[in-house]
Amino acid sequence: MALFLQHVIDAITVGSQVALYALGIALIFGIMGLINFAHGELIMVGAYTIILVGHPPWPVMVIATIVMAIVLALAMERIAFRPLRGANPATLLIASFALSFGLQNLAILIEGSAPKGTSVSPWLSESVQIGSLSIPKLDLVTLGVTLVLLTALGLFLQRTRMGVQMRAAAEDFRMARILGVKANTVIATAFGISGLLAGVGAYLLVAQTGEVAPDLGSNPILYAFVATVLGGMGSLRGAVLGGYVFGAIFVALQAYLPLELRSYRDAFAFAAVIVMLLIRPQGLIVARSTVTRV
Amino acid sequence: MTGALRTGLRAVWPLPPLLLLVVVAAEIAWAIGGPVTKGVVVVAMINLILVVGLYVFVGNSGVLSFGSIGFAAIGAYTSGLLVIPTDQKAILQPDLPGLIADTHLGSIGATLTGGLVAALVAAAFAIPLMRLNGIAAGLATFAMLVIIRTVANSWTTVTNGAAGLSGLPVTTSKNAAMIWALLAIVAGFVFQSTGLGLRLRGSREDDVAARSLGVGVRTERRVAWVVQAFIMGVGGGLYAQYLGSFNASFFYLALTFTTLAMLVVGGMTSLSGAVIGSLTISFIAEVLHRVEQGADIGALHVPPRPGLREVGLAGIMLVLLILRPRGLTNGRELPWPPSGGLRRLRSRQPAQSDLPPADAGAWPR
Repeated sequence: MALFLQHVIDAITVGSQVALYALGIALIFGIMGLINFAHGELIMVGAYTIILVGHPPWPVMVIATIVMAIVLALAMERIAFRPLRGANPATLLIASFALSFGLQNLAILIEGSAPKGTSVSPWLSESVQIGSLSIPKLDLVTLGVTLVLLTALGLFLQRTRMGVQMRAAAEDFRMARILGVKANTVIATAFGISGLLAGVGAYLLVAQTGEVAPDLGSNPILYAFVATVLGGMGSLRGAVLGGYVFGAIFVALQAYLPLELRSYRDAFAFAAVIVMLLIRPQGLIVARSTVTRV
Repeated sequence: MTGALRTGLRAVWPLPPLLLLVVVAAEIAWAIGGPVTKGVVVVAMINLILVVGLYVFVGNSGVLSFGSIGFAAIGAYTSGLLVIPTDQKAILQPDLPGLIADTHLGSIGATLTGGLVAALVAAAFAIPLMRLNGIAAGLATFAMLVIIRTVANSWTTVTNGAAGLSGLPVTTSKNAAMIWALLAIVAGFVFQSTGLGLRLRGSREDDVAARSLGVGVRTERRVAWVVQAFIMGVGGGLYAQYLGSFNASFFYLALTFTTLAMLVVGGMTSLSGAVIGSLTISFIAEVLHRVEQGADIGALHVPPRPGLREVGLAGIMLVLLILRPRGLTNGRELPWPPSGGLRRLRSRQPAQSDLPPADAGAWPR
């Protein structure tokens, strides 16, 4: 029983992390139809910030990480994606792939390809003892931060002017523009938020692994893809749900796959993506913007 | 030009200039380059094969594939396992299944078998994948790449796990790679000129219209998918027999990116684009690579800068996507010279008669 509960906690932690990554991707996809491969590099740059700022008090470190990720996200939008706005999805996909690849190698160019170790906070690595369960504080923080961010994002989208415009743009971009929604502002804001999510994700990720490398963003982004596809491309609720479903599948595979098959875990996870795309391509939660008309 | 020659040439246009271009480029680079450049020429020829393979599917169908390099991996492993001498295999990989452990093939046989196995795996993947369209198809092919890589990394008894295969006889010479590349280009041309290829290209331009004319698309896409996998498998096999040792990481995101960049830079929707893009990027990559390694130019010391080549390629690709989204060739085949094609290419303005259907130049008339 205790072991099972431990697995549940693991699933929730992984799910929270993946939900954060997936949300950043879903936000951009919903508005401009772009699957941002380079989202992983926002996480990577955030992670390098942690190393570069040294050891200031933790609020400074968190803020620096988030600010760097946001700045890069905005720069990405302005330099690479704005000139491509309105291009077909395939072009956008290739562009973001190129951007991701370029930024990863830029990190190699500047910082070298060897992973660098760091310890973010000794406090986070401690565990809380509840009965027979030992829960890392980091897991609790991850869950807490995710819930706070989800609530904040929800309120932002429902209650603020910009949030409403953003939802309108996600549903029908052209119509929203005709009604006076400023495309540049909305898209830049979306990128800013995705940068914020990536920055927070980077901090939590480095706190967990204690290591920073140029390809740090690759795996999170692969998992986030799985989550967005499972949940429904372009749907924010779907991305969060997909994140937690992914967490559950991931931990279950890890825990219950026979030992000799365990190294095939990712293959099973991605086979699930293909199956999902086939039987329910719209995902668990259907985003209105993705219903195509001929 | 006599009438018969002209008609004959027109039928196979733009094949002759493309083949000539490849041979001339390879020979010049081979002749003037040092020992390092000679290796680069072989790699460029193999990459050209991979890009033509990618073009056969992506270019003709208009569906993105991030997974095709997976077939190169399959070809590499298959041919690799077949060319390693049997006694050597017995020592290095004692757990190999009997059939593979006891079989030994020559380079050509192994390369073709690699292509064949890749095509078989592709045929299996084609059944589900080719039901998908647009962005879902792109994601699914990506998922396939991850699956193939995970299997290659984990199936230790056959693939030797993350360590990969080693001890392959290095048999891919410049001439071998060049001949295979020329064959791949011919194959790509034949494929796009068949009825099936034309139907597929039609569906690329307008899916709905193609369906209304009775083109089911799925069959066409599946055939293209399998043909590309064969070409990819051959390319992967040649890579394996050039590298001598490799692992699954070699056939993953970096190579996917490089080949995709080559195709996009040249122009995704024409064979000429695949060839020209591939040669152009190979050249630029080599120049950047020289800078990357560092050098002493007179008193100026340039330190080594690993990663520079990739950053440069990504930059070029982004700039090109923004400025010339249809690639260097604008997605068209090399123009037919007697119709004033060269002049038109220079002014970039299509002549009135050549306006869309977008790929008019590629259609045999």
